[in-house]
Amino acid sequence: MASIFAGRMARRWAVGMVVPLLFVAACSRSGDMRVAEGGGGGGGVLPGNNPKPTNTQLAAGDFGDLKGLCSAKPADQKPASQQVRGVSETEIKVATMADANNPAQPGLGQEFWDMGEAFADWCNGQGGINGRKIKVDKRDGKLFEAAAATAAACQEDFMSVGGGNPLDDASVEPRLGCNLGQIPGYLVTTKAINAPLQVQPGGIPANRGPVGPYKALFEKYPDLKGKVGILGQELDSLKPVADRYEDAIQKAGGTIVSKQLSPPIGATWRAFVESMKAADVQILVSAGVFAVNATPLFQEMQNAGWAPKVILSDQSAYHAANVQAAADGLVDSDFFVYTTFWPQEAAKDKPVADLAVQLFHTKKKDARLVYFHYSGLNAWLLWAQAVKACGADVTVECVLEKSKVKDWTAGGLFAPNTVGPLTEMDANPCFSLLKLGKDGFQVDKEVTKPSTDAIFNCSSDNTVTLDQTYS
Amino acid sequence: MKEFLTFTISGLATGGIYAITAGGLTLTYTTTGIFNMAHGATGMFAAFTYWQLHYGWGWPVLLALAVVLLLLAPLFGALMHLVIMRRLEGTSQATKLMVTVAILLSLVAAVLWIWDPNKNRTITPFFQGHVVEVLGVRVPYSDVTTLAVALLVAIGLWILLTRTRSGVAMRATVDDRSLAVLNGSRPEVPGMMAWAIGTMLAAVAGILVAPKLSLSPLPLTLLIINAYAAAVIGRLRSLPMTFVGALVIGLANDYAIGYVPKWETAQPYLSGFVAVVPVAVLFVALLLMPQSQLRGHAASRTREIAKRPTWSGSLIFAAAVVFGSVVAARTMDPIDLFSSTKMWGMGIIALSMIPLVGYAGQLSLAQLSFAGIGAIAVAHWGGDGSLMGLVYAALLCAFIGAIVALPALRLSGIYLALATAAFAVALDRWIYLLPKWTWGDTTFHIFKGGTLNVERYDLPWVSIDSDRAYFIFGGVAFALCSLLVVAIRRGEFGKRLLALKDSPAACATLGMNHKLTTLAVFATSAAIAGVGGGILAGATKSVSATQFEFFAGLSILMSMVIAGLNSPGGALFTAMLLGTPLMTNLFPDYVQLTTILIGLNGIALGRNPNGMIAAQLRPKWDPALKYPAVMAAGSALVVLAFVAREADLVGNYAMVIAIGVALAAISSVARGLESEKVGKQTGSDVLPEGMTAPPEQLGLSKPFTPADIEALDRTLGLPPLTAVAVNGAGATAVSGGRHGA
Amino acid sequence: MGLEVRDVTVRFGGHTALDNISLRALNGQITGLIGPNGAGKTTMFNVITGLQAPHAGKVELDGRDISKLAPYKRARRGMARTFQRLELFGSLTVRENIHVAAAQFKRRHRTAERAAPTTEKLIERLNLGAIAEVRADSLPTGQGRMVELARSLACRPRVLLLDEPASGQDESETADFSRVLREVADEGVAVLLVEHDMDLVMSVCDELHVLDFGKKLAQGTCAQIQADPAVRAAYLGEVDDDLDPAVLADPDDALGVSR
Repeated sequence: MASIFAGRMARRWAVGMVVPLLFVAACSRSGDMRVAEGGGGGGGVLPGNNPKPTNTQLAAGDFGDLKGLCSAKPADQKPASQQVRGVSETEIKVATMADANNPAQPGLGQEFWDMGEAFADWCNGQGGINGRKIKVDKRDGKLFEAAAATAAACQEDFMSVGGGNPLDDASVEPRLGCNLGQIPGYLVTTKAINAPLQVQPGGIPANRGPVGPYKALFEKYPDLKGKVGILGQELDSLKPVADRYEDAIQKAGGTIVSKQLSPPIGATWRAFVESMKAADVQILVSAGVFAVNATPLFQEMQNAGWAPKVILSDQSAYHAANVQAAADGLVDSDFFVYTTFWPQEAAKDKPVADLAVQLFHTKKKDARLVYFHYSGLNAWLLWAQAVKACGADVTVECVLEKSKVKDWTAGGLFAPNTVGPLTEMDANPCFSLLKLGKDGFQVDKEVTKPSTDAIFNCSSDNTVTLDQTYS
Repeated sequence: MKEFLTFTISGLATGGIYAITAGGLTLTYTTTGIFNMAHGATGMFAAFTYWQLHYGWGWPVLLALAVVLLLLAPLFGALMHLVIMRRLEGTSQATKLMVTVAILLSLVAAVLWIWDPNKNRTITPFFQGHVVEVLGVRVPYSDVTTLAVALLVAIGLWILLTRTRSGVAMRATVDDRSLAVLNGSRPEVPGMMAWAIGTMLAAVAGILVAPKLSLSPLPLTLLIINAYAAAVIGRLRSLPMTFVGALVIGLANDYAIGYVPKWETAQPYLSGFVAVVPVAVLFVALLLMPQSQLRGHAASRTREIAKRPTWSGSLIFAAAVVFGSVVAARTMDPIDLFSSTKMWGMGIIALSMIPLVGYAGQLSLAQLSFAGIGAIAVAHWGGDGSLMGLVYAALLCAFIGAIVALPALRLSGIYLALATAAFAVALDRWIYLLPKWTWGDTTFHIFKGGTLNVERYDLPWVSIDSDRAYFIFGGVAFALCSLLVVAIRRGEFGKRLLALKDSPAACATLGMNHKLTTLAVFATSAAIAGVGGGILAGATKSVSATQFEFFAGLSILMSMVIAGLNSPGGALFTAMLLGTPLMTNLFPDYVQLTTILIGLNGIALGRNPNGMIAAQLRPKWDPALKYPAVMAAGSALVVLAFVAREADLVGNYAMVIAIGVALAAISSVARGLESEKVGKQTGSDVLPEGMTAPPEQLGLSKPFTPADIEALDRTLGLPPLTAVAVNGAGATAVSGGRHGA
Repeated sequence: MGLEVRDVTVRFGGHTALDNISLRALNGQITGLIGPNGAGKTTMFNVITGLQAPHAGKVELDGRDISKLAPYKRARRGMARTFQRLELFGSLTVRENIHVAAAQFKRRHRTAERAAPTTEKLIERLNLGAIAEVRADSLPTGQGRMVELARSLACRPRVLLLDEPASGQDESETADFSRVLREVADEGVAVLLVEHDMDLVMSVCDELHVLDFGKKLAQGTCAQIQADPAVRAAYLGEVDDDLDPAVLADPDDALGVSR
């Protein structure tokens, strides 16, 4: 599970420097507060590809195959039979957890808030869910205050939806103590993963690992599977990720020739590049290094005159900085990312993918979506359909029960996955390989060899059981 | 062989950056005596400014560089000297260091405020794309440039300091400022020059390293730690050695990256070590330094004056703390209460700094690390809430504290600070991250891959699991620890510590073995910090390595220095500042602003190095201790207010106001009585006619006026001065001389 | 027996601070060490107490060689010292200053008197009662010297080294000081005194050694030294019977030493 958010954690270690003095960037940055902006240098604009808006679906309160997700109150709906915290006849208050205001990695989780508000705005525009409008309470864990933020949510919020915190074990007890059910965007610590009173729409048990993407790459580049390298970060949260990938790669038939962990701060990439070059790494698997702005690493590869033939990363590398790097001509490798959702680049092929983009663009025009947007939206859609199914009596138990959907696809946006508590779930065998280019991440069907839904490969031997549970 | 060459060349490139950084650092230390921890932050700010000029506003590269390096950076440096640094004359090493930390924090806060952190910014390296082949290894132009610049800087600085007049003047002022002034030198000019050049070099380093790191405030700031080792290798004064040292570190760093992974068995344990190679080099360099001579008085005379705490005052303080914690626990918002439970743990950690840094004058930057060790001990051996966990924490930390102190025996001042910093950083980046290992039958896994969970303690008759109860427990623990610290001060041990700080030479002549005392004080304060860490862990119930990070410890120390390193009140202030959401609640929208304000307060330390408590609060409260009747009446009022609240006779606000009024009343009434008493005492000796204040205050707390001078003359029976002489212009030697003009 | 210094040589770079100096300070005697500034007197003290390692020579205390011992160990053998620039513990009060020394002594000698009574006795003996609670760094120099002496005595030394104790003291303080020194010597302590105040030196010393530029110029009783022409040329100066009024008018020139 840690893998899903892996990259974002890359800079978390350097906290503490100013955290005790509660320095935070101003929470809401209005345009006029930005004294010094302008110019490119890694902005977030979606390059090229801007499909025409299809407002008809959005206007109908449908999301893909989730019809009538948001609508006004049905005529025959009775009043609620019990008082539930955060739920009234006209409103449901929902907490969304993030850590945007922390100095080590400012803006961590901002995507959850943005997507949450975008979804709520859209849904409320249709009348809410069965007439109850969603109010998003943005709860800021500030990295170390997850427990306090959860305690705050416990005062007035119904559930916690579509967010997450890196240090989420601190929030488990407060959450359980006040019966705050949760459908998170990501989970990190073992304690949080194993906690009850929650479901997660896309998750992977700690002892299972995806091998489908590796196998697909090995099939495409058979000469290279004996020369796999792993590059991770020396962080207590990311080290297990590197170990899991090593295990999975070996089970997929690859041979690891180099496994290195870079220091989280002040990495001198040249030495790592030379090390990998000396080991003749041809397929580089990222355990978090490409989840942040990896421009310096790309530059050092060019300086050394060497790059691995293939780079593979999980969904955390699906972000604008990498697109910008490709656009600037820095990426000499075949850079792949494997995802379980329809990316915005494929929006023209799948209306629901376009829908996701449009929905978000109502809040942030022309912004590029990253993985956290998608995982947040996934959680919101799951939650919304459950709330709708509960009708008049919206309770935590009912919502969590109704969330356990078989073959959940988030309206078609995600590959099908059966939802349940993580302790009971299995890993999602579906994946799609996206290849990085100047115009973003394009689905590479040739490598993926999709079996369902035009872009996903859902073969059952895409996941394996690992040798141990990597915490 | 080829591999060795490539790592050598990449190591040299890295070393170049450290060389420029360390060169600037050494320059400012040699010429001002101040070790500038904000050096990296300054460079970082310069890099952001350069980005803004060139990438943000589109100025041409050369113009942007020229403006930043030749105009803005030197200007900033000169301003720093004029406004801040020169006021630090005569303060202790701790104060000087903390002021630079304050600048660091202010700069980082400013950058986060001005430039939206959510945006990714990069600076492309200079001459991007062009490489040159050296011995078969491709080296980008930018790296060659960096090395060349580093070499130029080293040579240039050496020439400046040893061969030019201004350089020699700079070195003179740090040796003996007053002597330099008497000899006609104007110390402001060399000081400003030193800071201007130093800042410029920081800017150069920042701009050269930014392309390698992607423009982000913290990484650029923290890179400075790696440069410390180079500066220390140069003994903080030899620029050629600093240059060589920087290259050595760069090489060591890259060799480690290249060769450590080849060592299969040890690799998992050593991969973290790779990250701390520069720090390890720092530690080794410090150990190899020649032993410093036993200092005498002159070296350690500082402007900080600490009054001896009284038992009555301390007991009242402790009682007030416990009482206050009860009041707060019952009146605070549950969410705020939850967030504030950790304040007592932080307070105890702050208390632990008093014997070590305050009394003994040993500048240790690793106290928070000991708290981390304490938390680990509690988590592993506390056995789900046993109080023995705290005992184990204290013992383990005392042991490790003594071990850490061993190198401290030969080091002092800034070198000791750096050694403790190296220890703290090594813990953060390597030890805490170690994977589990087995030894015999037992498995050790320090942080269990991220976070440890801690139960709150089981006390015999009362459960302290609830936030309220734990808050009060914390308050009691803090009060007890503050009494312990006072007991140390008033006991034999405290006297020895102060004696050792004041004059190690004299102590030696009395037969005191300073080594044992130093070990003892390190062990004791580490133990207290360990207990603080244990209590902190119980408050947050889960601890992660990053909570005890080195820079967080700097914040605590800085706050203590601002408030007053020798007073438990300062620890309470620190606890409230850092451990509660007080600041966010008071200033929700402008938290960035409060950061800068706190930084500025730290910077203002130069004006009053005794800290806030000694300067502002204590004088207002000391008189109260002499009037027990007033204290009793005031306390009765406070208790009455609390009881009324409990009985629901008044609301929260009313109670808080009543308590505030009672406290203020105690202070003012006492002061009023005191000045009356003083007035009565001196009433019999009426002030000489015309004198505006008692003579002993003239020139100290009240300025001399011409009327005072006349009155003095009359009282002494001296002939009156002519009007000309009073103005001091061209007076005859006799009259001018009498007043020491 | 006392203190014996044999053939001590100290060099700083190219400059020889002490050249083959030997001297003795016997128990019960006050031995003076005088000479112009820069003669090497404080360096000699530093060698004796262990703060400076000599290039050659030995230091013996009561017949035992202490040349290799660290300063604090020499102190524990019974050597105490005051400093040219006052080395009081500024943050502590006068009482605490003395107490620290007494407590240190008590720690090493289980059977000795406890620190507090020792401190009080010394305070009374040296008349420090009025300033006992004053912070040491706010004392005027003269009083500070007395406190430093009291502190040294709290260690019950067998050898007492005093480095310019009279500087900063006025006439009455100097007189008190002399009295105490005499008492201390009479109790069997070997006192070695470096001083510029010739009145004090001549009135109190049993033997004098004169240093100049690192070399021993003369040695003997006070009368002998006063009469020695080499000493007068180098240090004491010629004393004229008919004094120049212009020179006398200079209030700083109490000794009548011509410039």
